Amino acid sequence: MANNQSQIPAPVQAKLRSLQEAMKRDGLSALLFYSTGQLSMLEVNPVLWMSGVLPMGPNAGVLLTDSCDATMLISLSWDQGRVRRQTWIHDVRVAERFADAVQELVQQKSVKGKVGIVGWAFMPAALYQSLQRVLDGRVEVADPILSTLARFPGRESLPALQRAAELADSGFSAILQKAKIGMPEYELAAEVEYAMRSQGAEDNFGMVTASDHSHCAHPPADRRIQPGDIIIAEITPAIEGHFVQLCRTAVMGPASPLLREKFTILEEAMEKSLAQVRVGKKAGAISRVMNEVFTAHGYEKYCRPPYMRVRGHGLGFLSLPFSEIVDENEAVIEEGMCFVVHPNQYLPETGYLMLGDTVLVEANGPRRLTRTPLELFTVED
Amino acid sequence: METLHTVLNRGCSIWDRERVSEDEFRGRLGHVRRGMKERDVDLLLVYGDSRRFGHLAFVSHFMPKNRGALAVIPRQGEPALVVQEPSRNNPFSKTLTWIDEVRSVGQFAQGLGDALKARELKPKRVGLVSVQEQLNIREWNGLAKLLDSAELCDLSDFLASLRLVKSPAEQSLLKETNRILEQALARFEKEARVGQKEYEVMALVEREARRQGVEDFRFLIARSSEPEVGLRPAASFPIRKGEALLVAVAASYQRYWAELGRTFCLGSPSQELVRSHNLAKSLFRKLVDSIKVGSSDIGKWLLEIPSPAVKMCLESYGLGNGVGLELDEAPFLGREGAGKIQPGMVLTLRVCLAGKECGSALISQPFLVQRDGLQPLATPVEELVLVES
Repeated sequence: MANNQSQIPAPVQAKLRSLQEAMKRDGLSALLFYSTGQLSMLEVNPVLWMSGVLPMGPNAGVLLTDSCDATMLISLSWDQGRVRRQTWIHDVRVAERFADAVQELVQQKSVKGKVGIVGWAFMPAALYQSLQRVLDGRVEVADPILSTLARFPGRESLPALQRAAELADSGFSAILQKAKIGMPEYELAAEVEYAMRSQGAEDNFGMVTASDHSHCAHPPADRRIQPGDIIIAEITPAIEGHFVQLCRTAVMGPASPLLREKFTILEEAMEKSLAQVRVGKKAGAISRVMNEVFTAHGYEKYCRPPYMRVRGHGLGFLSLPFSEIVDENEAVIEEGMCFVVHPNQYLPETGYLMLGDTVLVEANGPRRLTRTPLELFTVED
Repeated sequence: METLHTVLNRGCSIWDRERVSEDEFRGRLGHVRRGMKERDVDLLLVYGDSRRFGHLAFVSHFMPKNRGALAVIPRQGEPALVVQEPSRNNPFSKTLTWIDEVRSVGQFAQGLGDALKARELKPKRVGLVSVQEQLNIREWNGLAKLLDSAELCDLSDFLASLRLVKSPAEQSLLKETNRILEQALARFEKEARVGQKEYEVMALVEREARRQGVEDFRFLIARSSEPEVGLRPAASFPIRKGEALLVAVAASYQRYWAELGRTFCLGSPSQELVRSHNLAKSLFRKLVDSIKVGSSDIGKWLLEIPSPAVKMCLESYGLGNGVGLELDEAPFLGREGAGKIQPGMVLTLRVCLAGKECGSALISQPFLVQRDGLQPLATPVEELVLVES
C-alpha cells in the first residue's frame, strides 16, 4: 500500500484490504468515494466511512487506487486544517472543479482502468455526466461495495453508540421535564435539542409534535401545547457519526382509558417484533409480526400507505444493515447489526403514536441501547 | 459561507402568511412566467434539496426537510409541487407552501408524470433550475426519460437574477432573522466561560435561536490557539483564557438566512490579538467603503494588501455574498462575473483572518444596499468583544 501502513488505524487497514479484494473482484482500478454535502441519516456517508471526516462544502471525495493509495478532495480551502487533523489520509487537496480534479488525479495516479463510484446514488446528475466525460466513460456504479462492507458498526463503535443512546434518553427526558401548557412546539423542540447538543450531540434527526390528533411526526410548528395533547417524539442524536433513534409518546395530563388501551397495542407489537430480532431470522419478519398485531386489533388498513409502511430502518452515517424494515425485506439478521425497530402507528381513534428503540443484535437476541422504558408517558403541568 | 449540513431541517416549520403573503408568490410567478415566455419555455422545473433550496423556496416557499422537492410550473394554470416523502407527510408539507397541489411521491418521475398528465401537458421546451446540478443521477435518469421528446435548457441564471434584489417583505424577514441571530450571539458573550467545552456554549446560543422560531441554525468556531485549523463545527475542546474565538453563526427564519461573525476574547487579549483585530477592522472598513451602487470591482483593494497570507485568507473565506433564501447566494463579491451592486440587495460582508501568518479575527455583518449607501441590518460590532471570565 502506498500510504504508511503503520500510521493507518487497524479498522481502516481492514477496510482497505476488503476494498482491494472488491476492486480486484469487480475489475476496478480505483474507487471514488463521493458525498454531496447533503447528509442523510438513512445512508452510509461514503466519504466519512472512508476518511473519518465529514468535509464541509458541496463536493467531497476520496480516490482510492487498487494499490490503496488514497487522496482526498474537498471543496473549501479553509476546511483543510480540520480535515487533515481528523483523517488518516495524508494527501488532502482542494478541488474547485470536482470532475476536473478527479480527472487530474486519475492521470497522476496512472489509473488506467475503470473507476467505481461509491455514492453514485446521491451524485448530482451534472457531476456524474462530467465524470463520464472526463474519464472517457470509464465510470462504474460501485455502491454495492459499500453496502456490503458497511453493514456493521463494529466493536470499536460501541462506546459511541452507547453515548448516543444516553443522549437520546436525555432528549426525551427534556420533554417530560420541560413541556408546559401554552408552550409552542418549537420551544419544546429547542429544549430537546439543547439537552443533547450541550452534551456533545453532533446532529439530530429530531421531530417533536404536539397535537390532539397527529397524522405523522414532523418538525415542530408554532402550535401551543394544550391539555390532553399527545406529544410524539422521534429523537436521533449522533456521536462520532453514529446515530441512535428513540421514538416515544407522552400525553399532557392524565392519559385517557382509550389512549392507554390503544397504546398497549404498540407495546404488544414492540414486544413481539423484538422477539423476531434473532440471528438468522429475516428482517421482514419484524415488520410482518408488527403488522399482524395491528391487524388482529382491526387496523390492517392502517398498516399500509398512506398511513404506514416502514417498521424500522438502519441508521447511518457509518453502518447500515438494510435501508428499511418492510415485509418484503429478505435480509438475514446477523450479530453486530444495529437498527431501529418502531411500531409507530396511526390509529383513527388517537392519531399517530410512536414507540421505538435502536437495538444491537447480539448472539442471544437484541440489546436495546436506550434506557427509557417502553411505555406511554404522562406530563403533569 | 458554507457550513456543515444537517440531516434534518428541524426547527420551527411554518408558513407565516402575515410575513410573506400569497400575493408575494403570485407576483414572483408572474415574473417567472414572463421569463419563460421570452425564452419560449412552456414548462419550468425548479429543484431544491434540504441543503440548498433557494430557487425552490423562491417560487414555492417550500423547504425540504431532509430530501428534495420539485416545483412544476407550466406557462398557464396553477403550479404543482412534487415532494419526495412518505404520503402521510403530505398534509404537513401543504402547510409550508402556497401551492395547493402537493404530490408526495417516492420518485420524482412518477410525480412529474402525474402532474403533466393532469394538465394534459406535453412540453416542447423545458426550463431547468438547479435540476441537473442538484438532483441525483438516479432520479434524473427517470425525469430525462419522461422528458425525452422535449428540448431542455438551463434557466438557473434567470431565476438567480430574479432573486438579487429583495422585496420589502424579504427585507423585513431578513431583518427579523438578524434580530434573532444577534440575540443568540449575545448569549455567547453572556455565557462563555473559561474551561467550558465549545459545544456547551454553542448549545446555549443555538437554544436561544431555536426558542425564537428559527428553522435551522449553524455555528462555526476558530481559535487563535489552533491557527492551522479554520472555522469548524464546535467540538469538545475547552475554552481558554486570552485566546481569540472567532464565532460565525447563521440561522434561517421563514426560509431567510442571516450570518453574523464576531471575535471574542475571554480575559485580556495579547497585543498580537489586538493588532490582528485592528487589521481586520481596517480591512472591513475598506470593504464596506468599496460597496457602491453600480460598482462591480469589489475586490480591487485586495491588490494593495502586502501580505499574501492575508490576501489568500480573505479570498478563501470570501469577502461577502448575497444572503436571502440561501446563506450564500449571488452576488459573490470579488469573484469574476459578480455583476453590479444594486439597491435592494442584501449582502453579508466578511473579513476572516484565520491562519498562522495572518492572525485571528472575524467580522461579518449584513447590510442592505440603498441608493445612498449601506444600511446595517444588525448592530455594527467591529470591535474585539472582551468577555469577563
